[in-house]
Amino acid sequence: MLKFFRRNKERHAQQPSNKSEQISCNNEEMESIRFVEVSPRDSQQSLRGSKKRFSESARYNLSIMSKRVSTENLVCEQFKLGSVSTKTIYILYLKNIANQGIVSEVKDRIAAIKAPNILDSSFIERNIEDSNLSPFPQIEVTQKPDVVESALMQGRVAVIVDGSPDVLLAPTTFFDLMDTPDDAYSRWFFAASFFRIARYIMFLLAASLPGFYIALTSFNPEMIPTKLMLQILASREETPFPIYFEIFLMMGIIEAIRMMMIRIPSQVGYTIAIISGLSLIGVGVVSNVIGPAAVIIPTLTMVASFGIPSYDLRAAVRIIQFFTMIMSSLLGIFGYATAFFFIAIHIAALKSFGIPYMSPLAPTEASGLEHTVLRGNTSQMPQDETYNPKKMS
Amino acid sequence: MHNFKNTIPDKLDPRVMTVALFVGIVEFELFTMSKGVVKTAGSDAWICVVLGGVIAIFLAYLLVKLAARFPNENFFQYNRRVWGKYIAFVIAIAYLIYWFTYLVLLWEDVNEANKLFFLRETPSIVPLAFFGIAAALSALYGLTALIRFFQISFPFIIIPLTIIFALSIAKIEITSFLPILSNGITPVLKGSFNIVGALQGLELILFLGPFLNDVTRSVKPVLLSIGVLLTTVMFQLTAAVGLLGVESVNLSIYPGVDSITVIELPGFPVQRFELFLTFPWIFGVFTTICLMVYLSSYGIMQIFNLKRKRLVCFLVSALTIAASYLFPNTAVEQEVRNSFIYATLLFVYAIPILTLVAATIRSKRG
Repeated sequence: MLKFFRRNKERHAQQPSNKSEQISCNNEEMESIRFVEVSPRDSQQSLRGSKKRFSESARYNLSIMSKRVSTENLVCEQFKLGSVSTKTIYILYLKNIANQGIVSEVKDRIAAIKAPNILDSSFIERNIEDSNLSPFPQIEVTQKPDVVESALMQGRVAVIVDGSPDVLLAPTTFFDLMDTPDDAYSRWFFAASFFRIARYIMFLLAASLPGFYIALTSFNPEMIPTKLMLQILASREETPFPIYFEIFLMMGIIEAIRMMMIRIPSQVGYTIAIISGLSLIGVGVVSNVIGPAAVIIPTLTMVASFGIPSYDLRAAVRIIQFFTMIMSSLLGIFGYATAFFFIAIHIAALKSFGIPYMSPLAPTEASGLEHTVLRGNTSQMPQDETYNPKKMS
Repeated sequence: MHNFKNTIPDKLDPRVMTVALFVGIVEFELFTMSKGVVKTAGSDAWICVVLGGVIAIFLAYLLVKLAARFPNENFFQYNRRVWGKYIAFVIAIAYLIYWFTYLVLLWEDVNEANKLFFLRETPSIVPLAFFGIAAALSALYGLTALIRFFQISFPFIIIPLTIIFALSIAKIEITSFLPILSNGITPVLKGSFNIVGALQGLELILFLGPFLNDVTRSVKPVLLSIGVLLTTVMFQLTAAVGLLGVESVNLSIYPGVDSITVIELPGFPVQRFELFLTFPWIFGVFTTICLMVYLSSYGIMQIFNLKRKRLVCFLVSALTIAASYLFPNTAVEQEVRNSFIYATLLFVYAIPILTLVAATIRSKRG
């Protein structure tokens, strides 16, 4: 790199001029320059297993995968997309396992993309998923090579985009997004299953706890145990706002603090977030602007939301929780149930590359439940029927 | 939204029948049914469930045989070949009226229960409209999506019902069921037909066939479904009679709900167990409404060769909600509901079984 700059410097020194001069940006010399990799924020930490991550170089990513999946059945196909700035996209799959229908579906959808440039893998994602209006992500995003290896073994297709460390996995079900590598790597299946179930409960809490609280306290307080209800009422004696308003306010504050933590540089950000959060809540409760329950419920909801491993799914849940809150504020438990129905109907109809989104729960496939909803006591990595794979030979 | 055409076939496994029928049939009647049966058979109501169960299982087996005879067609399609074009048309119209009436009754049930338990001051049209939109959407997505929705809903129905029964079992008075057959066998037989006639939605067997990858394998799942369903009915009935007694059940409006109020568990974090019943009730009634909106809408589209799916689904939903306001009071609705059992016996069992006989005699097969 120094050599390149030195040569340019020399050229300029030889011909001093105020006019600009065009030089070629697309030559081998430019391409061979190695950039410094910025160490990313690790969104998929795992206690066991490989710590390797994909980089922004597609060739590097492909070399990792070819080392991890050393079989002649590993197929890599290349696409060149972008009418203005061309970018290379690779798809990977195991030809002896992946369902040909799914592979050709992925290929067709990528080939149909008409775009001037592909900035990131997320542009591929939004162009090939079944519904980009749905809050639920239908493609899994990972930076972990071991996750991609496992996906290939299940008959899924990986999409690598040059310039992006995020590898896309298709098809994807809800349960893929709730899965973490630690579940598979844990020694004891019972503990792994327990933590998985806990994660699903956390998902339900994150999506619906504020709505449920609003519904019960505002419309059907008789369903709450008397002692608890009296405590809630006593704590709210001096507060000026209705319950639903308090919850909306607190959820809004939590979202604001979360956004602040993402944007402000880490060490300063964490400190400011903690101080502002504590002072807002403390002063709010002490001055009776909000009741203690309005602090407990949103905090519990936020904590529960971090049990969801996928960032995209977590973002979807944040929006869904506001939907359940609005419906519960309008119609109580009935509204809460109706919100659930709207969401459940949507995910029941949703598909990812022809695979029902809620597989293997709906449609129920017993062989898949063992390593999606639970973690079975298996000596080797199990393969289920979710992605209609060819039988492993 | 992208308009991708998926190449992966979307056929259902016959095992879905167990959940599909259970969720499709369970509705608010589960909590009121014990009243009707107890009124007829008194303390022998539990025998009605056993006897009714045996009859229902046999009749459901015949329905599966009919569906398996025409695996790639639904009831309206093969009726044309079995009965001829005109009679098939009349039968189809009669079914549409039957489903419409049932939907109207369901909307009225939702309305009444809503006013009693949940939204006492909200104008009733508001919750019904939300429910109506959701039901129309579910029908719009098609039967396979609807069945997957049923599978998602299943745990929310069965788990609370099981918990409630487990909590109530210790308090059930066995003496409430004695003496056995004190009024003879006739009331028991009558009550059994009440049970058989309460299984509205069983006709789904006749319409699900084309969506299954092998309809012939659906015998066991159907029988299992009826078994689970009648076990749930038995739970409800024994809890109502065993906790409240025959006379209180007769006086109660919602015996299923009242029996829950008796349960007390000191030290348990939950004091009022009605909350457990709320979810099975709302899920049960909503899923049944979805099924009926689907059957009515697609029935209309098939018979009249209509293509505007969205319009028909929303119109069916809206019209049936509007019609539910025609009931002057709950008493009238209850009267219609009680008579509806006979319509069910005709449409769910008699006509399909006659069709099976006709198809066998005329050697018609799909």
